[in-house]
Amino acid sequence: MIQKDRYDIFRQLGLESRLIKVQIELTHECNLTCVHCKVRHAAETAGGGEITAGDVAALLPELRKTGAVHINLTGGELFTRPDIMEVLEIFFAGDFIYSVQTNATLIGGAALDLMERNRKKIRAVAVSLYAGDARTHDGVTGVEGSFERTVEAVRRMKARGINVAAVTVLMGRNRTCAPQIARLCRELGIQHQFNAIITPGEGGGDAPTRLRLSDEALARLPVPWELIVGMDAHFDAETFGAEQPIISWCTMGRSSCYIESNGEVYPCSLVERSAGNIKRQPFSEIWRDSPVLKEIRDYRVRDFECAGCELLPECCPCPGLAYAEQGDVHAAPREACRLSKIFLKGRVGANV
Amino acid sequence: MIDKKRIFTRCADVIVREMDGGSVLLNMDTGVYYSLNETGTELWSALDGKRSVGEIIEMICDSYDAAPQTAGADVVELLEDLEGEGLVRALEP
Repeated sequence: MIQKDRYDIFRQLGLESRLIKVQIELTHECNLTCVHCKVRHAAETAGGGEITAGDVAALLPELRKTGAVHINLTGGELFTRPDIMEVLEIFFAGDFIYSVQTNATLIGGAALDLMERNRKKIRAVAVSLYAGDARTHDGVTGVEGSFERTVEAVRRMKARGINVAAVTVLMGRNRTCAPQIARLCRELGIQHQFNAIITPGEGGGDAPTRLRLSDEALARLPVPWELIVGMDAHFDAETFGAEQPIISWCTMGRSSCYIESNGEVYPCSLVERSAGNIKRQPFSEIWRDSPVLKEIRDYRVRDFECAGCELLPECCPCPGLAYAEQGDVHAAPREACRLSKIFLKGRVGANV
Repeated sequence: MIDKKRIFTRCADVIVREMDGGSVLLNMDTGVYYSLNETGTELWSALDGKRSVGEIIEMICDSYDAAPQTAGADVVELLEDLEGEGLVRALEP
């Protein structure tokens, strides 16, 4: 009568198109200018204003009705919103668990108080950290003093009992900093994770991708590949048969989705195909009726270029990344493929 | 073995989503997800801090036309599991 295997539960819910996790972008605005950022600035964004506190209040019961349990709040930098405290109060009053992605530089006393009061609901505050030293970190963010503010905010959150983790995008200028970051995170008492995937900019801009690590640099990264985001997944190979839905390696549109700051609902943050807008239609209707989501739910393993590849399923070929790169979710995501071949090469043989 | 006169209640820090044919539970303290089938969900709903275990067994027997001995064993087993996972707690007699 009771089942607790997370993989099985999530797979079953995905097969039933039961939403579990939703990522909500609260703003495009950011106070930093990170060199690799894919997010369009607000001035470049078409489609109207940001979702309001009222929109959020109307959205939460809809998410609950659809089954959502986990809300991931992201940006831009969400703490640039003038009404962020009001918005977070509404979110945290909801019957959900939360994770928050932030650079932490703008987290002040009131935000700390609010997060401390709700710390049981906040699974993690994921903080962007690009180095263990100010010069390198600030060089990535483009803002002097950002390293000190981020680290200080992490210390203050930890002191309040808030669960914090660091996330590091590795690129040329910080690739040697990994051990230093690991040491700093140990000192701060937080977990850390590295990410070597740099996605194209929203709208197809390829400027961020020029910062990607070369094959040689990736092969010499001073971190085990298991620590790199997206490369540590373990799957049941039986669920990768040709006629299987792709829920085993991608949950978009089945048990997860993304809501952009202007209210547009997307299958995921990388697949900019609008399923509807929460300002114009109740979310539960969008989730149930959207032709875009229905199409995605019909995808089968055989529809993908990666079907039959010997690296599947360990390579975790993100359809969203393929869409961001090539405008086609069914294509083999070139960057994931490149990383997989480098990281998995030693385990699957020289013919990879 | 759980005394059938005992009364259990749901723990506060559990997120529940009911759906057709069952429910999903999340223990916020541990981050562990659980799923319950239809019978388990009915049992979960009955754990209101008022009904005794014996009354819940009767309720389940009525709902599913089940034999008391079989249903009783299933209910007790599930209650033990839920208590072990920190999802429910027994009220003081």
